[in-house]
Amino acid sequence: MPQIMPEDSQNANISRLSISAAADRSLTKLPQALAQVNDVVLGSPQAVKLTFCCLFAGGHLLIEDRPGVGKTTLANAMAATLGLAYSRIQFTSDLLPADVVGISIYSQNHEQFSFQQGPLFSQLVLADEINRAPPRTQSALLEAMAENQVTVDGNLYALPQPFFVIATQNPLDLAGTWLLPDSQLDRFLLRISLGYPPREAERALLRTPDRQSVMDQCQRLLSSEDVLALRSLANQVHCSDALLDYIHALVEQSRNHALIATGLSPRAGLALLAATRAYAMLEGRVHAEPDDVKAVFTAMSAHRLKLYEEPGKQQLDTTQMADELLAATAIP
Amino acid sequence: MNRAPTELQQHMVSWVMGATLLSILPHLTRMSPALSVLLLLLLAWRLHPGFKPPHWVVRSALVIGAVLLVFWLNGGIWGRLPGSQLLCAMVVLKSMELQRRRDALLIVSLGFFVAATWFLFDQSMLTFGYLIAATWLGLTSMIVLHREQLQGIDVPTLFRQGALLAAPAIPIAIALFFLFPRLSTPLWGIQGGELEGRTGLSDSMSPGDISSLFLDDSPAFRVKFEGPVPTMAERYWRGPVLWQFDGRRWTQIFYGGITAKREPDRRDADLRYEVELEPHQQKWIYALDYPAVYPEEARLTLDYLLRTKRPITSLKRYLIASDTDFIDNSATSKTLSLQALQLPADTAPQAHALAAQWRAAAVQAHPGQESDQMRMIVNTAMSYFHEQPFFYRLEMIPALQDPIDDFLFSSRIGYCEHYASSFTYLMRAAGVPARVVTGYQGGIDNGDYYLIRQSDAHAWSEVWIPDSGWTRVDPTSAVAPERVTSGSRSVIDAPGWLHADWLVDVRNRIDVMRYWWNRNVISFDAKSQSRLLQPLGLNYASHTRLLLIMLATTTLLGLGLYFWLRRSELTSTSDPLLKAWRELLRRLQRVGVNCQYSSTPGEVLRLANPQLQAESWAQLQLLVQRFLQLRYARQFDSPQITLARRVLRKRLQQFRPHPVHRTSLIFNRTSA
Repeated sequence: MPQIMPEDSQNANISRLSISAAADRSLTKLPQALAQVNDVVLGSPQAVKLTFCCLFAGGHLLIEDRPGVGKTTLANAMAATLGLAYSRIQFTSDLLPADVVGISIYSQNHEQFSFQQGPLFSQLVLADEINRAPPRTQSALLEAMAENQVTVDGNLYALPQPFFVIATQNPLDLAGTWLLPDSQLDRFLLRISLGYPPREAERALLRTPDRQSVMDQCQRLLSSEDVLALRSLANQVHCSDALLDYIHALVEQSRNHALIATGLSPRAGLALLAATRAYAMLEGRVHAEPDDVKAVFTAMSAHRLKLYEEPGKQQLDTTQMADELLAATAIP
Repeated sequence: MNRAPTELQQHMVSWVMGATLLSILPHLTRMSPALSVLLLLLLAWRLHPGFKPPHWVVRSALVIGAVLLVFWLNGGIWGRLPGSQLLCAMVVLKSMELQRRRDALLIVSLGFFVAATWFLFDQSMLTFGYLIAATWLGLTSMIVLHREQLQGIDVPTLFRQGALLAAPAIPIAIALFFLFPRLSTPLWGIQGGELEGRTGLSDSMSPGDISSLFLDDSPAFRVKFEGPVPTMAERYWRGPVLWQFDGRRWTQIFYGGITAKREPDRRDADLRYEVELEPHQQKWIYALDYPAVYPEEARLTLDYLLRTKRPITSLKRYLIASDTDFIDNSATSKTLSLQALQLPADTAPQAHALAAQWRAAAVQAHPGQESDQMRMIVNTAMSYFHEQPFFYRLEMIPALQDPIDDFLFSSRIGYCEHYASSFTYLMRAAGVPARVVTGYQGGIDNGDYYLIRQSDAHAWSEVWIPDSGWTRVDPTSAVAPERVTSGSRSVIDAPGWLHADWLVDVRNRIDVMRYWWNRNVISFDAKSQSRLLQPLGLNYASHTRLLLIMLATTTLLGLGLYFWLRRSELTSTSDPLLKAWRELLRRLQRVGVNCQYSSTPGEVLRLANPQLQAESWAQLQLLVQRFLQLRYARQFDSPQITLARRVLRKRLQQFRPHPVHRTSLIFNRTSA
């Protein structure tokens, strides 16, 4: 891909004014952080980039793939690289909401109930195999994701900031799973899948004797302050009218397509905008371009689109549909 | 899970039923009320929200019943009238099993066809407009059928979309109009007993017949003169000549219908004009006295009426040359002279007495000179009408006992048919052979042509004088001379606002449009078609060749439209910079770069890399950078930016991609 240099002296000066010194420092650490995660998760640079994009856009990430392709490894590598309080919840079929959120326990010393925070009270939460848990538990997690707070026994507990959930999910046709309802899928900003690594990456994977040691060597490169600073920086990325037109055209196209039952909601449009901004920042730009929109569109839209079922016809994948929408929408 | 919507919602049913109603409405007005009420009831039933499709037995019974009803009402199911009724009935009955979108689309499409069959009955501009409206509604309801919901879209927008849908068909329709092989006779035959309601003059006259036409403003015919135009008082358009009187009613006789023995010589003709006759369902056409040149399908009768073999059921245009000086003094046979003196027995004794008195005076004044006697009788009668208190009015005084005597001696109020009738009666009673002529008199100058309305219908007399033949005498002119010199409306004001001056003026203007329509659209026949195609070197194009030309033209038009629509759909933008960018993309496509309008500038650059020469690609890279910057980076409106945009636009327009040479491509590959 050719390097695109947006540096126009005049425009760059104007844009730089809004970057604080702290954010500028955080920005310089970014390439290193990306490289470190890529060293652990071999062969999926785009997935890693989208993970960071999701983090800085302030959303939550859903990784959907077969077992054993490195979903958990990605989450662990993120946790190791980001200096965030990390907890991991392995979802099982007997997991209860209290196991996630926490529970009020009667303390005999103080003669009153005290709230014991559950694993959710962390900054980076890995919800592993989320679709193995019963719906009640799933919703407890998803409510927390939507509102950044938890209500237990009538008391409100705010979750620590930044709060970033990486959930993994097995494809739906595997046994013993409850699929996530549409409304809850919508809570995830992006959905990615890793897929099998390319040839060189897999060879490298096999050559390394001890993957754990690679993980252990990871340094904490970004603090929670860095993450917050980069989030607010991403928010300032400029989106021109032409770019907003493009986002709107894509959303509208999804609503008018003959094969799509449920098009993209206005919330999805906002999600696309946020992800586009974060991605543009990762690209080192202070303004978003159509390439950024395209880069995030499939991850943003594939889990939100619902297609009609045409009996007797090869069912189109929502991922393919997202590509089709991109191909059908002219760049304004 | 989700399925494509095929079930109809109630609002869709309403749209479809509305479109169906609009397309069968003209047909409903001319079918028997029983059938049209039945169809309307069925439509209303289907519109009811609680409608359940009836059992198939009921549906079959309805279909069979409708066919039988049409058969019974028309005495058959062949021909355009029963055929169109059957079509209407079937469309409405099809709505009984309207369940899914497929059915709805079928009904709307059928509606287009049913609406088009109305052209078999009427081809006026109004019909054209109406059918366009019906088609428009049909297309709009098709759009509604393809929308899941109507939320967020208003009805005007829907109609605009419907119009947009129809717009591409216009050039094809125009091509079909000019190129579709025309037949010299219509495809559908007119069958006996299928005549429309007759309008205008009939072949007989009784009191009230002509005055009832006075209120009818519809055009009877239009005339375009070539050369001199006779004055209004000379414009007597000859219609049926009536010989036989039964005391109330004047009728034609068999002998009047035999072919004239002597015809005016065409070299003597001093008036030439083209008549455009509105269909009146009668077997004659109108002309000024005496036609020397007339269309082939007409023949001149003994009383100089132009008779046709077939009734005039569609707009007819014909050329006439008239010889105004011709004298109809053909020696009358005994039968005809007797006929011209025929009077019903025991009627109008007072009139007889008056006529006998005139005759005695004339014989005394001109003993032995028959022609002078007759002339004197005519003049006496004319001055009688002029001097006695006769009134030219519309209102009818019902005759108590004897129509002639009551009119002549007591009521003395009447319209032209009263005057013509009583005058002719008096002539015959006084021994002067006479007959009644009906027709039209006058007509107004409506710009390019003369317009003769039904309200210009008139009746006058002709008397036979031995030395000058049949002579026209108009007794109305003795009572109300303005009737003849300036038209019927100048004497009697038509009642009601419908005949206000300005409305009449509006109608005259509308008639100008109608005339244009008739001349240029309806009358576009095989002859005008070949005249049109001659300059293109298509002399005497046969139907097959014409058909091929038509197919080729419409196919080309269709393809052109298709590509144009596709292109404009993607390129349509008001942003000049974006337009220049897309034009650049098209140039890149032409040199083999597989980029689309949906490709981002970055992708375009990547796709162009292997296809362009290094220098050209570097140039493109600069342009892309500049484009991204000016289009997506943050900037404040300033003269510099505007200028920069303009410069970029110029450079985008000027950029010409230089593709890699094929050989060098191969060289690159082998070296790699």
